Amino acid sequence: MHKGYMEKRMRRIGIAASVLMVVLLGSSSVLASGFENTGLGTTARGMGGAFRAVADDWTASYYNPAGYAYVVDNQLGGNIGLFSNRHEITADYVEYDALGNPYGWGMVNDQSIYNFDRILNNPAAGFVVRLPIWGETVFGLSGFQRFDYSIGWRFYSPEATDFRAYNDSADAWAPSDHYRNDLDVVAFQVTASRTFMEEKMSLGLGLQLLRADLVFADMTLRDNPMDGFISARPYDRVPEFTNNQGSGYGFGLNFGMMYRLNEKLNFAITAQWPFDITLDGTTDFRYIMPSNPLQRDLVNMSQEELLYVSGELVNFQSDFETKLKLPPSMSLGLAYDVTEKLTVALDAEYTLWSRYEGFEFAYSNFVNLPTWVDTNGTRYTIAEDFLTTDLSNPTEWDNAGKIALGMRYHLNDVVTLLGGGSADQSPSRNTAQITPHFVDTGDKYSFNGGVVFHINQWDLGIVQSYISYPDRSISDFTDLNDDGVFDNFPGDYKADTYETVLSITHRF
Amino acid sequence: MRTYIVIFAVLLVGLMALTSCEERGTGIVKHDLDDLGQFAGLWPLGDHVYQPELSLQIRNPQELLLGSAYLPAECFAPVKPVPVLILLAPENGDKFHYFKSGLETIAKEMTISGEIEPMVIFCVSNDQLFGGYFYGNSYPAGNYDNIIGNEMIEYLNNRFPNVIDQASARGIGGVGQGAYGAFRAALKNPGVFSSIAVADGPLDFDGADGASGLMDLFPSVIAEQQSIYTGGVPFDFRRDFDSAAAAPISMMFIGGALAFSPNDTAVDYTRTIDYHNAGTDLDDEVVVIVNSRQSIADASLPGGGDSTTFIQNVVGLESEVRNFDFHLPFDGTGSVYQPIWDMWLANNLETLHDNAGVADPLDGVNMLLITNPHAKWGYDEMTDSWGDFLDAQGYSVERHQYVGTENVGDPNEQFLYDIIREMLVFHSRNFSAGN
Repeated sequence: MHKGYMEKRMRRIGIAASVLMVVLLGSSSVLASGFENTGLGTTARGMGGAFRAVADDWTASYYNPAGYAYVVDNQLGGNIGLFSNRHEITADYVEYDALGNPYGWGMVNDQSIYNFDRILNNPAAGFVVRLPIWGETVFGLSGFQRFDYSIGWRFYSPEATDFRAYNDSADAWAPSDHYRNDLDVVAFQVTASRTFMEEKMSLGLGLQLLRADLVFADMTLRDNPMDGFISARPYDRVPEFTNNQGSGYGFGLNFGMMYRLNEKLNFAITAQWPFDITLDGTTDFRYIMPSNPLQRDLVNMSQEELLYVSGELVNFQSDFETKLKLPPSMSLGLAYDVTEKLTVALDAEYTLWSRYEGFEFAYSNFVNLPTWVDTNGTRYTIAEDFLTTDLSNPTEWDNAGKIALGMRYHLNDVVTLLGGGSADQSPSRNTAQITPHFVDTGDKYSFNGGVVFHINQWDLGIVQSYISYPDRSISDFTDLNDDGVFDNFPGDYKADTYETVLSITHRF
Repeated sequence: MRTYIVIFAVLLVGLMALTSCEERGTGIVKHDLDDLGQFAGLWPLGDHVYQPELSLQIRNPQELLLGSAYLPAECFAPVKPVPVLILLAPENGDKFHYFKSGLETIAKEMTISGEIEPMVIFCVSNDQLFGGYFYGNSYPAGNYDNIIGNEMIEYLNNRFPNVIDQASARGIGGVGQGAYGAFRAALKNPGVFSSIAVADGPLDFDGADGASGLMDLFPSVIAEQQSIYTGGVPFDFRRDFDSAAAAPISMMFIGGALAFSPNDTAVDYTRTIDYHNAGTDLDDEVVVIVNSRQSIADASLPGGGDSTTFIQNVVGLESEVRNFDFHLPFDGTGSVYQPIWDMWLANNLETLHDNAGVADPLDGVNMLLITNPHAKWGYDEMTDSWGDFLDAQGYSVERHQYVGTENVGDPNEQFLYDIIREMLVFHSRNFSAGN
């Protein structure tokens, strides 16, 4: 290989790797079952994700590392998925007694509430390069979001629900999106692949450095621990707002095998095993305390009792730690070249979502807890046990399968048409444990179509995708871990997601 | 090539527009309370002197009945006629009792959302000394029969000239003893109120079977007294009866006894009036001796001051050695003492109904009874029993029940916020129908 050519190529690779790191770590995005990424690349996405037995561009690092062995040229590529979640929830966040009397706490019910409209981006990039190491081994470096989810909601509005009696400042003091989940797990993957059995079979292995970033804002309605009138309705539950922001690193493996059964038929097996990641960071706490000035002024109370009628906004901070249990997955793929121009592919994936158990936040190192000073100058912390309680967001998900079917048609030397769809089983299909943090209402169907233009050494692709969710109604509260805190969010859920994927690939 | 680039660009723009779509917002719709006007809200200055009704009420030398009110914007410019609702506090409830559960905000919100029509809501305090006198009628307890459905109406009409002076625009209600007081006022003053909404109270003293109701609490009083007794010698019911706040059931019966079966005690009465608006307080304090030996009860009491259940030296005047004495309707074993119990039963709502002096004294009155199976002291059963009586008389009575959830617990007060809302809607519906 010419020395100058190699230097040029390595320079391109270096620049690409740097850009990749920056873009991926600053991105936000969404989707697929649970919080798995919908995929990457216009060809793969245009084929509905049925790409494991095709895997002939740089995105094979995600779908099947073994595909690298059959990539005939060097590639430097990138894509960006632009998401728009168009979800809505008509909340039924009300507790009913046996006679049907409702007891609400300022959540907006019986109105269609929309998630915050945000165009979310999901970038990915990578390159494939043939290096004269171990024969014709193909190496690649890529970065993509292996898991990601992003959504924000606001349901709490005492002003909209005639619940100002709790605290007439509560509406203004509540965070704008008190349900927020930005979860990104970015994989930086080094991939190696080579052929065996006279190029009938290839094996590929990707070693992943996983970087997880979490912004998890939640609202928890805590039982007012006081007795009698102080905790009578509407003061019976105290809203606690938490905003956990943290990150962590982990590792993952991505294995693939591709076998050419004959000239037209490819068979693929892949397995992905991400290891658990411990996330740590900081948490902002915000409690909006009940406001009962008459009770405060007319009744003798302890300092702790006074806090529960004060109407104060209590802000403090802490560190947190939680574990993100990521699900392994296994896949099979078939690809058949019907003609020289037309390829049809079928994938089946099974993801062990039962490993994911939600988040359990362990808090420590509290700063700025509310205190009071007695006449001797001694300072005491007020209601420390109540305010510093660890919180959890448990789930009970099931393992889930996914089937994808896609086609690729080379119209001519310039245009390739793509089409495909998938049926995606929901891990939350058997549980009432649905919350606005993960709007996964049931088994989903995606419909994809796109086109790739081949212009000299450049490929420009665009794919449009629509994901249809079933409507889902959750009617009762559940408390999975018996901590007195509701673990789900009753209501009528509707969801749709639109995605546009743009890609550019340079072959050299 | 140019063609493909154009197609690509068009596709790009079109699909991007699809993903963006329009900004939907959150979908949350709010009501703006500022639309009510800045003056609508709590008016705390509803205390008023009632003379002679409260002239001999225990430790109330100023003869004041404490009150506060929610005033709608219609009480201020431009003034418009509004109905009035009177809410009576339960035992130990002060004039802000309902406001502590959010009455002001509730009224504002429900008015602005159109759930209720604007109304004056006048809240009456119960007695803070013994918790309450059942809004009964005696000198030591106060002669409320002439206040709630009579003098108070006149006072409200004068104080708030835009209050509609018609029964169809006048409601009353309460919880606990306030529930009893509301019905008592309506029965003593037929035709004054057109709606009554109450929640769990002592509405049937002897219960559905004539042997329950408050009678079930007699042994509890004895047990309560024995539990707080710290004397060295064996507890003696008549000698050691205590009015300590730690004995709430005893307190309730003391209040009731002072209202329904006070002893015929002649007491010295001192009335002090402090005029704050001229000169110094010291110079302006005027002490008026109204009557040095005032008889506070009917001398026809069984045994005079010597009934089996006569209790003395428990309730004292602030500056006098003499005491208001009373008779309890049960003896030291918790057994009913019939001569006194009969005096209580004479004040039972069923009796008051039958002795109202007019046929069907609650005719045309819309009534709502709210109960909670966890209500204290069996108030729910007494309320149900009273509801059954009203049904038997042919009245139309709405009933509603709260049972609570695991979180919303047992005591009545846990539901007051919800009960207030329901009461306001009930009264407002009645006012709208009447006008």
